[in-house]
Amino acid sequence: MTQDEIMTALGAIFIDVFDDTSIRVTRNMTASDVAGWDSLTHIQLITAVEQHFGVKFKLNEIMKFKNVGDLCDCVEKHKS
Amino acid sequence: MADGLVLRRAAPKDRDFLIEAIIEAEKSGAQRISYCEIFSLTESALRTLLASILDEDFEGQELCISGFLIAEVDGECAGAACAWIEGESELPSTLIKANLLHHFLDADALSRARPWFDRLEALALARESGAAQLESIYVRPAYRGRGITGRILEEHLSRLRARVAGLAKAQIILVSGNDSAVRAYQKLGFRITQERRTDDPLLLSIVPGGVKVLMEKTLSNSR
Repeated sequence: MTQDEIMTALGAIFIDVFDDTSIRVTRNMTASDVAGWDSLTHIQLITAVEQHFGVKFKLNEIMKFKNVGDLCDCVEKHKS
Repeated sequence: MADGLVLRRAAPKDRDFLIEAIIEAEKSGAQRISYCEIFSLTESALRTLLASILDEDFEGQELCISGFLIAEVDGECAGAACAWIEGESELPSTLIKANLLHHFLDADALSRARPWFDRLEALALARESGAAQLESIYVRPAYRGRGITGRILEEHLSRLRARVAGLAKAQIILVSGNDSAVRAYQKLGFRITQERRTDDPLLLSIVPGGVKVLMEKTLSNSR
């Protein structure tokens, strides 16, 4: 799975979780860039990403997600 | 001042006392524990969850053993409080806690919590990045009235200021119905700077009075 494919899939997941079709995800995007990215949406987001890609992140991995790029890289690592 | 009082950093052996402190501080006058209500947990299941989270010891949020100071009186645990600098661990404390809950709670518990989270938004108060945060502040009933809360909080702030140059502010978020706590923090130089109110009957069950407040203390002018 390529980074582009993962980012495209993440884009659709973000639109669904945040219920906002105007969201355009970028690698540098952080929680402070997205209105409504609070603890609940964060849990929903991580759960949705795990379900979509069929992966289960380790606690130490999700604690290192500083932006969408980190999330994308971790998905890529699990899928490789 | 409490006689025979010793303040020390918490260690893994204090885990059970810290669980007591977290749960009792969380109750803050309510009959129900918010974690139990929100995630549909028994108190026993909550203790197990908190033990798992505390064992991970992730800094930058209130469920972290090494963030706690313990007050001992004659060798007995009398009180505790947790402190951290918001944002120092890169992730906001809310997301660190969310990661821990995501990891340790099953999908059913998380999905049952969704209606709560939506409604709790009405009481959300943001912690300021770079400010000292004080949480899970608790003194066992037998030791109250001896100024132990003040001793723990001042020791926390003294240690944080020694470590972080230019630390300018400390914040406490609490339920406003907890008037004795508000008065105690006012005596220590904190003042209420923001409040959130709700009349949602569901929220009133875990937030008596329906008011949460953010109290702040400017450290450059502290005693």
